[in-house]
Amino acid sequence: MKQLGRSLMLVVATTAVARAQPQPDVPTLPPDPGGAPAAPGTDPTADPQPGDPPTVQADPPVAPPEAPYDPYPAPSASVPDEPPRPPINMPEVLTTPTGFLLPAAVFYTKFGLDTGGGATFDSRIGLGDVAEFGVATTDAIRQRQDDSDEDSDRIQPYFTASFRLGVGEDRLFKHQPAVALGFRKSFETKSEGYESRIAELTLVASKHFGDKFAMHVGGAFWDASLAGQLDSGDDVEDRSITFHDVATPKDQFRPFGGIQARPLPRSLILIDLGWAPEFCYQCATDARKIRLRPVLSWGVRYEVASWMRIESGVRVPDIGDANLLNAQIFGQVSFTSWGLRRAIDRAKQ
Amino acid sequence: MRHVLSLVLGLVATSPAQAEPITAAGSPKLGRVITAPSAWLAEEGDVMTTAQLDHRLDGGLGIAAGLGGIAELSLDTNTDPRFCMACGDTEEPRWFGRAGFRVGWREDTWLPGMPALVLGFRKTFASSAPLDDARISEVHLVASRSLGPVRLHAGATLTAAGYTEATGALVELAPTVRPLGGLEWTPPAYPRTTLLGDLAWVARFDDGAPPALEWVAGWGVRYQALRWSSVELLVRHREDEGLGDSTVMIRVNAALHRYR
Amino acid sequence: MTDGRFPRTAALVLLASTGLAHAEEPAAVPPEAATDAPTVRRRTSTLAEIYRGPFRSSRLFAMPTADVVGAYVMTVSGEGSLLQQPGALTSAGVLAIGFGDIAQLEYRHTSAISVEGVTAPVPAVGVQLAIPLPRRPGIPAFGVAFRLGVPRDEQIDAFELEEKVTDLYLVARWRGGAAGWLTLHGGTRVSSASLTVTDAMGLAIGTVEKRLVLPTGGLELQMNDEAKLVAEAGLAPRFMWMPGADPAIGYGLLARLGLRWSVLPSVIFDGSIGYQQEVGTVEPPAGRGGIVQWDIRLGAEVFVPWGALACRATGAFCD
Repeated sequence: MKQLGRSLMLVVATTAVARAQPQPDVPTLPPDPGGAPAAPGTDPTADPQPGDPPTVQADPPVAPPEAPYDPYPAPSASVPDEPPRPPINMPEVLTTPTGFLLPAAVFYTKFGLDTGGGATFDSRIGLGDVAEFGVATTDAIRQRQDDSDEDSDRIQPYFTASFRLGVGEDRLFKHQPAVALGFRKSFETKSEGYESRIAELTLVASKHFGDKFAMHVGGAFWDASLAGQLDSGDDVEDRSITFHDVATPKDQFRPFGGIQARPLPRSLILIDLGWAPEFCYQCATDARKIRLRPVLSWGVRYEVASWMRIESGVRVPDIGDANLLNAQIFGQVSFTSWGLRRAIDRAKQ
Repeated sequence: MRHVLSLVLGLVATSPAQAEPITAAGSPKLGRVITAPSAWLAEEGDVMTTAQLDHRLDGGLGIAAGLGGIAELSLDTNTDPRFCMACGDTEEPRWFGRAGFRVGWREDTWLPGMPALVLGFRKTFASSAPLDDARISEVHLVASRSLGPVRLHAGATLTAAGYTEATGALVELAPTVRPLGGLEWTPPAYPRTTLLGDLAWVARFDDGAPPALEWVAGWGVRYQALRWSSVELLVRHREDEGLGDSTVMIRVNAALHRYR
Repeated sequence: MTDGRFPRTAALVLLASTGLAHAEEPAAVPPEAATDAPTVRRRTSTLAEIYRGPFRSSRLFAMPTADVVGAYVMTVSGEGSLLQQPGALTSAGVLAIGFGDIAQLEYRHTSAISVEGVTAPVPAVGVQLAIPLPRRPGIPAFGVAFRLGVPRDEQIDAFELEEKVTDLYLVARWRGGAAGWLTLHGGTRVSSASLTVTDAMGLAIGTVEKRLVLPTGGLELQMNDEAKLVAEAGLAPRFMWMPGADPAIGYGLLARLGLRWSVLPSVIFDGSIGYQQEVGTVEPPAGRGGIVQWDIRLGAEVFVPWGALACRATGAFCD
């Protein structure tokens, strides 16, 4: 309860900070003819794809002759209007990556907390409309001492860097899903005297079906390394193992995916299934020292504004064991910013 | 004394008052390709200066003056010869002072299509070599011909070298003939740029053994930055030297009208 | 001079001041060469015009291409990886100076910064040439690059290893006629590699030198006006040694996949993921599944049109 209270306080605090950010640089959601905001991933005003270069708006219409005389007309050489910014498709469902990439020079930042005391941070930037780089901390990596240890603990903070590249939806041909090839790797992390690293190579495709539904399907190829006193007994020496040495390529591969539905203009329901490594330091065999565990998450994303979203839901760290006792309720808040993109566009003019 | 000499040469070379166009094309011909001499002579009254520096921070200076349109007097320092005092260690280039006199005829002087011909003599007069009294003398005969954008150079050198051993005995290399060749190509699309390549033989001193000759192959680019000045970016490889021991160097050439 | 060598200071002064420092107009350049000039050098040019380019890069991620940065242009490149070595920031920088229309001089520096300290090997130089063949659609362009090796030290137990690789690249670039969005690069890398192992007393216990002829290649996919996907793969020397064994040199695969994004015409951002575990290190190979030893590398290349800037400021080097 105390943890939940802390979590809620942090979410409220970050939300308040975010609200204090300047509003004018944020594009508002374009209204649809029915009066409801358009769904992310669509743009009713034009047909720009996320990878398209920004279009320049036409000059405003000339005032009719009967318009009152303006003694202080605006200078004709005024700064051109900012081009319309398309809605941003999120790079993650809840915990798994999507095939959508951030537009060029767009910043994305996400903070998350859960009832188990886990805290995460994720910051990314879009690169040239075809790639994305990010650094993050994750609380998904877990550890156990040995085979008799039934409760796994999370290792945190576990710092990772990620790089993804791909093509946007409908970019190459009509109905082509967005596809992204991603690589995520952790820095070496020390916990309880053991050093570990993880790496994940993903290929994921995402496709909108109408403006209310999207689906994400992908595969991940995992690897990890673990070093320390991995054997029980006296006079044992430290040694290291890697996942690719103790597992077959088939064991390293895992499919993942997710779906998102938009029942209301600003709200999405999200479900995803992913995987996360678990280290068991003194399990009997090397094959059991590094294993992949399925993680199921479901929740809701509410778009407070086009630059801010709040997500909340449930995450089950090891759905394979159907252990709901380890399930956590999480809250996440994410922000996006076109500020750098605007600066680059200005520098180009 | 050498510092003073270097600085004086540098000041002369950098004097802007002397900077006038030498030819209409703005590309004065130099008396060498990279290492190999060419048959081009400095114009009457022209002074050609060169400074070079390689990636090991070894450098050199040179100055050549045209005499009557048929001869050239030169003075230069270079690090072409190598020395090996405790053989097995890396052989290092050492600094030599060298004087030269060349006499020759320009292209088409006697017959249409005749190449330029030069007979030259170069002799070292000072050395920083660890070996006492190390010296090199060289006679070269070179023919050079322009063929459109290409300039070809071919010839031969007769080289003798020697030094005095610690015992006082003179160790010499008898006059030895070696060929030399070079190529300059100015692509029509890049009229300021000339690709260079050459092959020549230079002396090498191994302590306790007679001097020997080793080949030096070079390639690079000369860029005519100004009408009277060009820069060169060069790579030079030596016999018995791995690719990793090659030398990268830059040169600056300036042509001055000193007394025409 | 005390060591019997040439007075370096005087040569440096002369090189810095001779000729190029004077503001005299060079000979007129024919139009065909002028079109190759990366930037127009006019006294009246604004900074915006100067930095608008166009600029050419002379490399993919690591391999040279058949292009050079061009006359009167300089580029400063840097890249870093936090993940290549655990607990260390590895970085590399290149300063490339256009030496006329078809050549460039490079100055390279690599370093690794870790908690144990800073390792900064000796900087090295390189020369790159674009072979000046007529440029026609569908006809490949060719280039030569020579990169002098950077000695790198590696410590294994009480032994010290010095590794050095010098490369001569012969490369070709083909830009698709109909498929203008595709550019292919291919070439051969002639590597002269050496590995010297010394013990704690400083005595050499093994030296091996080997010359390898290795293929290298890459491709660029122009994704939009500003970004392209870049893939690069090639073989590179691999050093092998274990205590009690003789040192050996083999080869391993080096591959990178990423993007080059022209944030501004004069600024290019690089990002890539790479596989190079078996290269330039005596660590055992990780095998195909060993992605935990891949790395993410970020870098940037900034073009400095110094000739155009000098022209604008002083009138020197103007077209």
